[in-house]
Amino acid sequence: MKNLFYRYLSEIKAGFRISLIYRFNTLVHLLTAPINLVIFYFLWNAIYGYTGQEIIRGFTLPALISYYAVSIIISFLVWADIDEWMEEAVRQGYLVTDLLRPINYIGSNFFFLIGLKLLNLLIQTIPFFIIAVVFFNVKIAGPAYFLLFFVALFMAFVLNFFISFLVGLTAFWLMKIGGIRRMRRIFVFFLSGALIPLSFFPEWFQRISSFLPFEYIRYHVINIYLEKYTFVEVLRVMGIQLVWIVILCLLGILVWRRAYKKFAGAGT
Amino acid sequence: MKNEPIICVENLKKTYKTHSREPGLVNAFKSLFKRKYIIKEALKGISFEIMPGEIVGFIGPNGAGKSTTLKTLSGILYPSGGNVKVLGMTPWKNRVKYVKNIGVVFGQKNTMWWDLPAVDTFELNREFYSIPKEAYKERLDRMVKLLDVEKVMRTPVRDLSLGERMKCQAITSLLHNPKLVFLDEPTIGLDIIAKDRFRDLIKDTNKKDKTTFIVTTHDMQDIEKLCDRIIIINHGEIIYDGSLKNIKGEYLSNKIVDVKLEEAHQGFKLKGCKVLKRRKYELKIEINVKKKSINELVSYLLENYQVADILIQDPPIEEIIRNIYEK
Ligand SMILES: Nc1ncnc2c1ncn2[C@@H]1O[C@H](COP(=O)(O)OP(=O)(O)OP(=O)(O)O)[C@@H](O)[C@H]1O
Ligand SMILES: [Mg+2]
Repeated sequence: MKNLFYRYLSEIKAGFRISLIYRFNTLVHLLTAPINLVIFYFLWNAIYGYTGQEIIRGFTLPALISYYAVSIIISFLVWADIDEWMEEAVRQGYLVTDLLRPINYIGSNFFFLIGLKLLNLLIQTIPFFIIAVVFFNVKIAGPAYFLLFFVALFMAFVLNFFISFLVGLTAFWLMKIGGIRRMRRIFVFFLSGALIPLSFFPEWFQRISSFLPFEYIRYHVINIYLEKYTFVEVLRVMGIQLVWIVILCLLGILVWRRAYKKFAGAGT
Repeated sequence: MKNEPIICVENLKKTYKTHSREPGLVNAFKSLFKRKYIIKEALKGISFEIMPGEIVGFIGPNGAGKSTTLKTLSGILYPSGGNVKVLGMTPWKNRVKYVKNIGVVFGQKNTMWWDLPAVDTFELNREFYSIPKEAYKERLDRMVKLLDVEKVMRTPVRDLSLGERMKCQAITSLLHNPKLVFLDEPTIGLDIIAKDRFRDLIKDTNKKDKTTFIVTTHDMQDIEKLCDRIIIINHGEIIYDGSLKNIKGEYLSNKIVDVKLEEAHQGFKLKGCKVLKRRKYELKIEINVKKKSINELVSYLLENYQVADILIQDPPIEEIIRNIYEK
C-alpha cells in the first residue's frame, strides 16, 4: 500500500517535471487568456447593448464575464488530451514500454496528468484568477461555494479524464483516431458550455444534453462558483458527476482490459 | 530453489494475423469489403529451460522470432499456445506484479522519459521499484562510471545519440537489481569501447548479483564474449541449443591454415583442401578436417616447401553461424 502510494507519487512528479519543460508554453496561455476575455467582453457588450436587455437567459453582463473567466480556469485545470498520447503510444509502439513499468496503466495516466496540471495551477490559474478579479471584476465566491466549487472541479477533472481515456482506447482497434479525437474535443467544448452557457440553447437541446456527461465538466461547475445553485442543487450536480464517473470508470476498466488483450494478442 | 530453472518454456507458439494489402487503389477499395488475412507463424512450438545465473545468447536471422519470444517472456504478448513459467509466474497473467522482477531493454525502443534527462528516469524508477536509497546510489555510481555517462545522463533523452541512449537504457534496466534481464539487441549503436564496457557491466552484474540474462544480438562478438550457451532460432524453431564450444565441434568441419614461405611456391594441390588466397610467398588454405587431417596437410607442406610460419585457425564464428542460418 505504501509502495503503491510512492509509485503514484512518482508518477505525479514525472508529470510535474515534464510540465516544467513546457513552462514557457504555459505562460503564453496566461497571456492569451485575458485577451480572450476582452474579446468576449466586447462581443457580449455589443449584444447586450443591441437587445437592450439587462438579463439574457439568467445572465447579466458582469455575470457572463465571470462565467467565461471561470470557464477559462476550468480549461486550464481540466482540459486533457490523453487520447492523443494514447494514439501516439499505440502507433509508435512505445506502449510496450509503458506496459513494462510496474504500475497500473489507468492509474499511471491519471496521476501523471495530475502532475502535469500542478504547474498550471501555480503559474496559470492563480495569476489569471487575480487578473480576473482585479481587472474584470470577477466576484470571489463565498467560502462555502468556493470549497464546493473545488470539489466539483476535481470531479470534472476525473470525468473529463475518463472521457478522453475512453476515446484514446479506440486507438487500439482503429490505429488512427484523429477524427474521433476532434469530435471528442468539439463535443466536450460545445456541450460543456465553453462557447456559450447551456441556458442559451433551446429547451429541447438542453434536455438532451442533460442526459450526457459533458455539461458536468464545465457548465454546472461554473454555476456553482457563481452561486446560482442552492446547496441541494449543488449536491444533485455532484451526485450526477459521481454517477458519471463511476459509469465511465467501470467502462474504462472494462474496455482497457479488452484493449490490452487486443494489443498483447496482436491479432490472434 | 538453487537448481530449479528460472525460465521454463514448453511448446510455445505464437501466430500473428495481419491484413494483407495489395498495392493499388482498386485493391485498396476491394479490401474495404473483403479482407484477406495473412497468418504468420512466428513461433512454432519452442521449448527450453534456463537456469538461474546463466547468460544465454538468443540468436537467429531477421524475422526468426527472437523479439516475439522475448516479448512473450516479458509478459507484453500473449502466446497462442504452450506453457511459460518465469520466476514461478506466468508472465502475462499479473503484469504489474511480474514486471517488477525483470529488466528489459528493447534496443529499438526507449523506456525512458523522452523529455527528461536520463538521470530523472533513474530517480523516478527508484520510486517505482521502491529501491533502497543506498543500494540505488551504489549501483548507479558503479554503472555510471563504467559506462561513462556522467555528463550524458544530464541531457534530455531526446537529444542523446543512439549509443548514449543505449547506455542509459542499460542502466535503467539494471537499477532495480532484477533477477532476470531480457536484452533485445542491446549493443545497437555502441562504439567498440562502449561495447566492451557494456559487456563488462553484464558480466559483472551476472557475477555479483547472480542475475540471469537473455541476450539477442546480431553481433557475434557479444555472443563470444558474454555467453556460455546459445540458442539458435530460425523460422520460429530452435535449431541449436548448447554451448558455444560444442557448436564449433558440431558444425565446424573447416579450419583455416595460413602459411608463409621462404621461397616462391610452384602451385599447391591437395585433396580436401581449398586455396583461398595465393601470393608468391603466402598461401591461405581452407581444410575440411573430415576429409583430410591437419597432420597430413602440415607434413605435406613441410615436405614440399621452405616453410617460415604456419598459423591454424577456426573460421570466425560469423562463418559458422552463417552456415547454420543458410541450411
Ligand atoms: N505485430 C506483428 N504482426 C504481424 N507479424 C509480426 C508482428 N510482429 C512480428 N511479426 C512477424 O513475426 C516474425 C518474427 O518476428 P520477430 O520480431 O520476433 O523477429 P526477430 O527474430 O526479432 O527478428 P530481427 O532480428 O529482425 O529483430 C517476423 O516474420 C515478423 O514479420
Ligand atoms: Mg527483433
